[in-house]
Amino acid sequence: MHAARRAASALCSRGPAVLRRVYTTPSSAPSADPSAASTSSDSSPPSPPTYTPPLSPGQLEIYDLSLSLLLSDKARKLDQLSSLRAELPTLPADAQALAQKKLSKLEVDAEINDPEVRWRHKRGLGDLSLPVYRYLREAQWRKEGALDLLMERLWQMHVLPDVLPWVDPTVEMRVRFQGGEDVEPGGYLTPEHTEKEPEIYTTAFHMEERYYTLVMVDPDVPSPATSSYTTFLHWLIPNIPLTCLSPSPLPLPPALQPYIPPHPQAGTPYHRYTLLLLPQRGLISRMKAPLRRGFSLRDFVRTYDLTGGPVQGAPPRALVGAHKGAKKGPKVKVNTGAEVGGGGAHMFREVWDESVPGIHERAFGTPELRYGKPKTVDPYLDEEGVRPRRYY
Amino acid sequence: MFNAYLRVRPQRLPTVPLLSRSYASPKQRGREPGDQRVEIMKRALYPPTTEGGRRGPSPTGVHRSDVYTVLNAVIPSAEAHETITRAWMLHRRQVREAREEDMRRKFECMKQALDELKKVDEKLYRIATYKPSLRKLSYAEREAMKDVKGVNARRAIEAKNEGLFPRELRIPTDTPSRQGWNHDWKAMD
Repeated sequence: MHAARRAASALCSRGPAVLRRVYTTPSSAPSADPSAASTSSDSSPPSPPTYTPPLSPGQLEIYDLSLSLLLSDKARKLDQLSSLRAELPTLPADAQALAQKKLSKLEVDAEINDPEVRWRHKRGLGDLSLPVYRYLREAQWRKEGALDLLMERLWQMHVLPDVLPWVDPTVEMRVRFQGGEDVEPGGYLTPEHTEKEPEIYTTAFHMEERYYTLVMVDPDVPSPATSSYTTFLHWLIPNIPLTCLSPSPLPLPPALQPYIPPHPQAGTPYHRYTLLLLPQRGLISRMKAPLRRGFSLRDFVRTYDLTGGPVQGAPPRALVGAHKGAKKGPKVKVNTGAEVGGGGAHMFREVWDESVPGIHERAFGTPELRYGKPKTVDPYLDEEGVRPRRYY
Repeated sequence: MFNAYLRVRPQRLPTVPLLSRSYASPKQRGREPGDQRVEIMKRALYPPTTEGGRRGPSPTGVHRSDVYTVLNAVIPSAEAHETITRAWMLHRRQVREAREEDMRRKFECMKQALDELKKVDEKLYRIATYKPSLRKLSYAEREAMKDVKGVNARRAIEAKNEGLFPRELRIPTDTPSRQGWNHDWKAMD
């Protein structure tokens, strides 16, 4: 492959790439990100799917030297890889696991410095069946801010620990309503915009097919009986198969609890609608359709073991009253059993507006309920309902 | 040859000379007359890039309007920059890993040799692996210290580090010292 690329570049008679002004003054270019600037065609015409090196050989010596170093290193690593693959079956069982880890790392290390691989990854043209593109895609999700933003919003708005005690996503999940844009986690949406089911765009980073359960809950439904809030289940779809090669938007199997659109009640503060892709251990053949109102997601997760892998980052929770510095008494660490390590998460917010009565009518057939604070009785009124004079 | 990236501007006569011989200059406060080495080094590391007249040193530096032109000439694309950076980092990693592998091999050889020695002769092994404690004086030094009188002499003996280079060792330099060699040097008594 290395020799073929060399031959191709030698045969290529295209001229050098135009020396374009990549580094622009702050005033002239408001959006100056390097990936956009380095495409050979900038704004409206689509970039060609074939890779062209930014400089032709001989234009910049240090670039040619870098290329030769990177490609020779790649060739060497690919040789190591083939020899490791050949000797893997001959190793004993305990050494095989270590060798397999080394092999996976080498598969990524060999290709990750290749400029063409990085170019394809930047344009989303990478084939996710190859480990290097999966690695780059996951690194992009984790390190370039998308996951950080999601977790920030989940913790800041107390979705964690109100909905679940801990969630450690391993699958990228984006949500789109009615062909609009991707919803920003924690962003406000209008109820009429969310009346129809959303499209779920996922990127998983595992080759093998795993099953996930999609749940959408609203933890902020008012409950006058308890003078508090309760959870409402909006959507439940178990046994969704997912791999890194699954299409986007995700084709969803029939729902166990069909989608009921968000209908935030009048008189309540904003509602946090949480979507979760919970990882299943295997195919769940019998799942009871739970009641929507008063749905306990923690019990649901514990019942069907939707906790995924062990959560390495989750701190062990101490019992109430067990102080950190206390020398007396046992230091008991409690794991609630509902910490989810894996899957995906998302959240958006909504507030009541004039479209909600119509949505409620269509979804439930009954008029909506309105909430408010109870009227306080003025204790200083006399029999006639007049407040007595304070001063005489 | 006229370089397109250098701008030729009419030069003003400098009012404050960059290089000056101090023997004929008037006395200036706050500046040692003989020792300009530090200033020369500073000028070499951070050359004064003045544009449009000499202004005093500014905390944010001097504005250079040709920075983007120069950068675009040297680094024509962000992708090329990333390729070069990654190649350099890979090179450093290769050098580091080669060095670490070399050290590891040497350590393994040494460890094997000492393991063999331990099996063969316990006493020789102890001598070979002896590491002097830097905090405590050895038995021989304590015996020698009993005769010595004076606080300074005792302190000088205690300050010695067995197993390390002596404190008074002269570090080799490229050029000889200005003071020359002190033939009359004596350890403090």
